[in-house]
Amino acid sequence: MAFALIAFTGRVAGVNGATTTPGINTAGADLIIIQISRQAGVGGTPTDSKTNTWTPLDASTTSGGGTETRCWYCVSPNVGSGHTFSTGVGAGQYSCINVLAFSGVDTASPFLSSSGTNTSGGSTLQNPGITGTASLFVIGFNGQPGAGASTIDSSFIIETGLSQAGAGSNNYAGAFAYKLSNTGSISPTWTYTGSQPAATGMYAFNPSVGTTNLTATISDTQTFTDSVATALFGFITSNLNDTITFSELFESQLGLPLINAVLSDTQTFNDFIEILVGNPLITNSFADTITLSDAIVTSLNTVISGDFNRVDIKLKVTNFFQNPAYYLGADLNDSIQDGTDEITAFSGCNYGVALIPFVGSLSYYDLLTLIPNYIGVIAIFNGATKCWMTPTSVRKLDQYRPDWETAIGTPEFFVPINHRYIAICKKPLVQDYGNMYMLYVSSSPVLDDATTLPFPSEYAQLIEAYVKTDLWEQNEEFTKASKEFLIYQQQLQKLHTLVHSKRQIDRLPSL
Amino acid sequence: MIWSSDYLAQLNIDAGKQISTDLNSIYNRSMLAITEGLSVYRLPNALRSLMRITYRGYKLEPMNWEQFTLLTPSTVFLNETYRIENSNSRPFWYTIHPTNLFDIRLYPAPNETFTADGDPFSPGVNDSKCIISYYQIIEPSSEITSLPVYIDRRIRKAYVLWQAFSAEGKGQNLRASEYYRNKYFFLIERFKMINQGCYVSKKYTLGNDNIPQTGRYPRPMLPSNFERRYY
Repeated sequence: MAFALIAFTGRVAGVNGATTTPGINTAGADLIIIQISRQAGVGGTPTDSKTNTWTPLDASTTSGGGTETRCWYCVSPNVGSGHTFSTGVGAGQYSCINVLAFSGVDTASPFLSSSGTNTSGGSTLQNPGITGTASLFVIGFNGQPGAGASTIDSSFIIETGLSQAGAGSNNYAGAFAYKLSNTGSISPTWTYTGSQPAATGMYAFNPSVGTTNLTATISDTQTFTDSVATALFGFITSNLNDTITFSELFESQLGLPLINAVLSDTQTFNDFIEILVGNPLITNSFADTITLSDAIVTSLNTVISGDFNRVDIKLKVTNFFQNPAYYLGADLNDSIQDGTDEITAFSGCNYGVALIPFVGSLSYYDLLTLIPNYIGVIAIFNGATKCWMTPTSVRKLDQYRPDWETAIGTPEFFVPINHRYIAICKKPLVQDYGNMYMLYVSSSPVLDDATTLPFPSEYAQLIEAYVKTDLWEQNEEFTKASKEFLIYQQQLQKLHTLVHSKRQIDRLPSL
Repeated sequence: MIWSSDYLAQLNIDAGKQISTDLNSIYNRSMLAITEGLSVYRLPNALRSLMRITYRGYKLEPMNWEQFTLLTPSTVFLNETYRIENSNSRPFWYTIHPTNLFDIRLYPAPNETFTADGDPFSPGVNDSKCIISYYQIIEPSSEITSLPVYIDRRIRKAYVLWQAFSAEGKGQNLRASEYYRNKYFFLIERFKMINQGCYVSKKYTLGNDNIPQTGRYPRPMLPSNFERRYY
């Protein structure tokens, strides 16, 4: 599961003594990291308004000149709005505090490793590399008074709003940056002005093992036969609530040519399946139950893969506005997410495949509940008969049979009712009839900086137009927003036309 | 603060009502409790457009009032305590009451009594149930009667700001109001497109596209009344 930045804040000490950050909303975060730049030896442990317990990350990294950067972290913290953080530094001392809150950490084993170094003077400082694969790297920096505002390799992000003291003040030149990545062993370099002692420390965190493949919210039970019970037996220990990792054998049983080798290889069915009844009850007359999700989303595809991500869009929009202090990184992130949600929904450019069991005697399926990212159905394949189901209408089914809603038999037809429901005809009576493969238009994924946006590369300006419109709206620049909104509408219509009508122009409409 | 929280909350409620007038998109089903001998039934308050009624799983045919009076010229209904029925049997037709749009009349009047409990989305064969399908107004208290999350927040925001910027007083900005009005209708139209064009596998044709009565799969020759019901 990928890390996602939830919130951030920071503050430079304006007066001597402890420093408290502005309040932020940390709801949804399962990892909060505090970085403090201070003079070595002043001591103190950070505190926060939600009374969390903070664990120090290794020893502090201290330069020869007494410049110290140190980090603390808290997993599964108390979170909420108005969350503030304090340095805990005593009176008469200067300090910077920076806070980053993330979701997606492996709560059982959050911390991977660390590295750090220092210099007695210079204008660059390279942090030693960290070996191992992680998904989140954070790095803190502290330069002695006189060191100017620092920068770091462009792959790292310093969110606007984090504290960073300038040169010549009594403050330390603290800075805090992060990088979301799936590769390890990186060794970034800080660059700063002046020739001052400085220290750097970098820490890597493990992502949670994903449970993203099973996304259904409703669960039901399935009874396994004796033969399946025998196969399961070896996995089940004496404890309740064991987990089973399905192998590729299970994936292949999902069948259907649409799940090709590439997709199957990347599709890991390693989510938890809860055994409701433990080992002693599993006997030869096995009739126990395990919970399975009603819908398993097997793949997500875009109509045309793009080649730009959130950072690319942020960079272009930031360059356009030329005022990064006014339009903060969080504002840009929110706008890009909103724009991606809207464009994906309205253009229909994101597709998914879900596996949904037929439910005995159910005529109307609430797909928006079964598949949270569902927008509209494209086609349905009956896995039991190995045939595509035919789309039709309620009126035609009424002509077919006046009691089609209750007709028991082989599912052959489906009717999209609205944005939530479809009806099927006929319907199976038994509970374990089989599965349907649902090909559907999907909503947008939750973006992080590294996510490739699901639009064709030539439509980058579409999301840019949305973001500009949205930001101008928020600042009541309605004349500018109106002009940009027209561009957005035109581009959106073009993308809609491309997706729906121009992907296969070789095919002639026919009467 | 230009606008009070109460005022914005009221506009948010108004937004739900306005969207309901501009969109027929919230589909729902519910059951009617049937009483033997009673022909007139009250529809749910949230209902706006009645789509379909099934009685014991069979669709009832809709009629207008004029057709109904021609079908049964000797019947009158004034209120629940004073009624004249000329036939009690299994209903085949229904009509909206001419003076109360939330009442429907079944004809013939039912000759049995049903309860309204059970799942209307899983009707059973010959179940003693009367189920209505309809479009209804938006009710945020329930997930299935709300707009989906990918449209709800932004469409409400456009409506609230459209109205708020047009209000008399310090915050009035007619240009901003017009901007959000345009945005509101843009979102409404786009959402209609989702509901109307959500599946792309449909066949575009002017020919007879009715479902074949014989079914699609090869099957052995069966008696002519196979899978058919008579009533």
